[in-house]
Amino acid sequence: MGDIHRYDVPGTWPTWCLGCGNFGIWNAMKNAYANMDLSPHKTAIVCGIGCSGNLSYWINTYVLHSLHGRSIPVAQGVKLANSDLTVIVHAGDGDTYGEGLGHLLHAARRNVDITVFVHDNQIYGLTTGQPSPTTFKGTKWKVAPEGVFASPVTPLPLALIAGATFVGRGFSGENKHLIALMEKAIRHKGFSLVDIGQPCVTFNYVNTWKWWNDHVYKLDETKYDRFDYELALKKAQEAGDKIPIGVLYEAEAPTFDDAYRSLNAEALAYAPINDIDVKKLMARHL
Amino acid sequence: MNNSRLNWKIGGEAGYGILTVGEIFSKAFVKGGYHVVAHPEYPSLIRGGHNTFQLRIDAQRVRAPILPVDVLVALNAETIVMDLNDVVPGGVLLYDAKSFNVAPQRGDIALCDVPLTKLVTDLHLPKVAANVAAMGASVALIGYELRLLNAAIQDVFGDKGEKIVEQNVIAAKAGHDYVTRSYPEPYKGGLRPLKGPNRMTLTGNDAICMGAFKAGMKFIAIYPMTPTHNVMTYIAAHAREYGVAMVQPEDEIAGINMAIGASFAGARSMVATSGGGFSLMVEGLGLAGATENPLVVVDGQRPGPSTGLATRTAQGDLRFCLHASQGDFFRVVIAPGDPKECFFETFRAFNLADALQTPVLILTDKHLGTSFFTSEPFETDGLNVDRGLLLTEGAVPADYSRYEATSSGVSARTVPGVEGGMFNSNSDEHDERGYFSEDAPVVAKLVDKRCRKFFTAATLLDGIKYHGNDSSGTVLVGWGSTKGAILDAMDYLRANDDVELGFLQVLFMSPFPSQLVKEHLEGRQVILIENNRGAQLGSLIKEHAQIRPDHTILRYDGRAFNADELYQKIKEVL
Repeated sequence: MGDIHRYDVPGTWPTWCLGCGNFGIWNAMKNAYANMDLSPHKTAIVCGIGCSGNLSYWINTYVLHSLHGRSIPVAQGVKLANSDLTVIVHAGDGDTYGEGLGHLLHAARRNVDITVFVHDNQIYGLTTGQPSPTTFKGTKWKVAPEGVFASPVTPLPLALIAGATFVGRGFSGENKHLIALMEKAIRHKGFSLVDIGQPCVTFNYVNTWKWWNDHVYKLDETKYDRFDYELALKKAQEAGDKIPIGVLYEAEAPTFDDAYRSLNAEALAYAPINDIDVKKLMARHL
Repeated sequence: MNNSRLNWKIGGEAGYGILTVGEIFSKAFVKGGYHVVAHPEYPSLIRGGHNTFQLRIDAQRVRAPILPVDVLVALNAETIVMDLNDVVPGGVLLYDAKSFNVAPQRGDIALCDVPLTKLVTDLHLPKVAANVAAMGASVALIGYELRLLNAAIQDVFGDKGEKIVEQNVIAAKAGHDYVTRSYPEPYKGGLRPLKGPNRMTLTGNDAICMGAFKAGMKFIAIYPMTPTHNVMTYIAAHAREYGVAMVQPEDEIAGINMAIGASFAGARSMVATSGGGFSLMVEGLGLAGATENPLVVVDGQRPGPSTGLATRTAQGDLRFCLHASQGDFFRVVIAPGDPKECFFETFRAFNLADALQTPVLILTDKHLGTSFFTSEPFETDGLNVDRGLLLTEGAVPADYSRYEATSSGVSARTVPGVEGGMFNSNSDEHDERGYFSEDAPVVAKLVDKRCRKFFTAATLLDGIKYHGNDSSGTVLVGWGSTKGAILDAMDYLRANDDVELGFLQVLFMSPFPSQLVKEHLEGRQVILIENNRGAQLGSLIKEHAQIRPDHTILRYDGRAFNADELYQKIKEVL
């Protein structure tokens, strides 16, 4: 196991609110990386925009702090260009299930070998509290005084149907569990989505630490077969009094990046480009 | 005496291979030493409608279409209805009189009735082969050589297998032999093959793809959109050979963001689209600008706004490309005017993107991107890939700052995998290390850093090309694909009127070559020629060189300029 502080950016400390669920994810992330001994320079993290995306400032790897909703396409480009890298996305629920929902589904069906951690606090925190795609129906916010009309997005069943080969849910407050879950997701070869429940202590008065603690239960403490797709699809929709956390589904399938990797002897980013001959192309036009 | 030039046009409904015919017929004449300009016109349809391909064939160098048609080949009635008036008196209509019941209403042209459909169905070939029979018939009619058509068929259909080639050769021969028997006198004495150097037949987009391959592009994301669909086809055909990852993303937003990710990871990357797709990419363009990741973007223009005319041409995106994205950052905008410039400027675009670590936009259009032109093979010796300030393993200084505020505005970059080079490629405003910052002096310092790239770029580039007479009282000004029509119009002026004009071609729209433009235009009568309504280059010239064009010749009906029409328009204002 490596040192978790090698992932710290010296002289900095997160600006999240005291008690924010992001601290738990940040801590679990660094522990997972340390357990796996990920080399910071061989790890590329792509972040979205929001409180979750600000994590990009406090992690000492290669980082691209991208656009709201676009971290998954950026991460796919990174992985396709250099499949030797470990490529991880940290983005929020607004990012991934609002602005970028289409990207999530398409990345899942391509089965690109990237890992997506969604910091799901069911609210827009950085813009001071508006309903997000995962806010519960009927919840009243200052900008939705009559209560949210639409049903929440259900990311895990959507990802499963789209073809994701690793789907899980974690909770910021179950840190040891989350560390192990993150490790599994990163080690998985293929597209991984982990939705991570995290309280927004400043704006989300519904999904509080207490609420989460009262609702989650660990799948690995039950009799559950994570390789059973039908079962996973059912379990992924469980959203009542009890919310399962852990690995919901895992499968092996060829990855998109492997298909491209075969184009060159080495990763695309390392392919020599100094003296490429196009004379044979020109000959086709003669 | 033999003929030395010919304007040939074929029309038929979509689905009858008119576009393939254009490529084959162009090649047949370039192989025979001729210069060809061949442009397709078609509505946005897959079946039905009215598709045409027009070939201007000339022993002299020609670069743009002209209007009067010598030989019109009608594969459907609509061609006769819509295009017969374009035929010159004394010209020929080649058609299959029994196939459609439209009587050509022209007494001053010759009719060449060839039972194209019967010829091919008698040979048990599919009806669609009538288009190839029409090419064979045309070859006989204009006194050209069938072997050159056969060679072009082999080139274009060779990948589809010997059987397809053979069927098409048989169809061509059937048309050819019928005309040889029934109409033995060739049009205007015949067009004989010439002795000349080997030249290429290619579109501007073909040349862009070649330039990108030569430059070492390793990643390209393209969402299908006319008129850059043929970029996708070309890259796909050669992606394996050149070890290039081509991805068809879910939308242009994903496409540009993937390309930025690939660039961040160290691969030269590119996107190609049209104005509508570029609209979706605008957010990503700003991301590349803010994070200083190199990127090449091709915008093949078509008329807008919105869906506009999907399959026609325009130059209406100039201002859009210059200003796309919120905030201030520097981007390069290049407007090549012919396939040769498409090749060399695309190659240069990748070097510039790396040298300046910012997006480089290449502006083309449907006319340049999808018409076939004739070009000498490109001289590639001496083209050197330059990746700019790219730090490799072991070269990263201990106190490395990715966004060091250098005097050039460009700072050394690392890519993932390089030890000790970690940084945050940050879309938030940031300090020199990449750490986010809202500190006022730091913000201004980094904005200035990025904008200094303008001056650095300006020292690397001339930005204009000047053609013709440099002391004429009148000077023509244009950019992009109008180059061909302008140069051809100048040839007409020289030959017919003994007038030798100059032409200022603006190649770089950003950094705008203000000083050179001013020097060339000041004190002269300026005629501005553009394929848009807003005279967008004209407004740039006013802005940067404080010069107002004396006359503007603008076309914005979705069609490119015909050289002969442009010549007349220039004469009207001279």
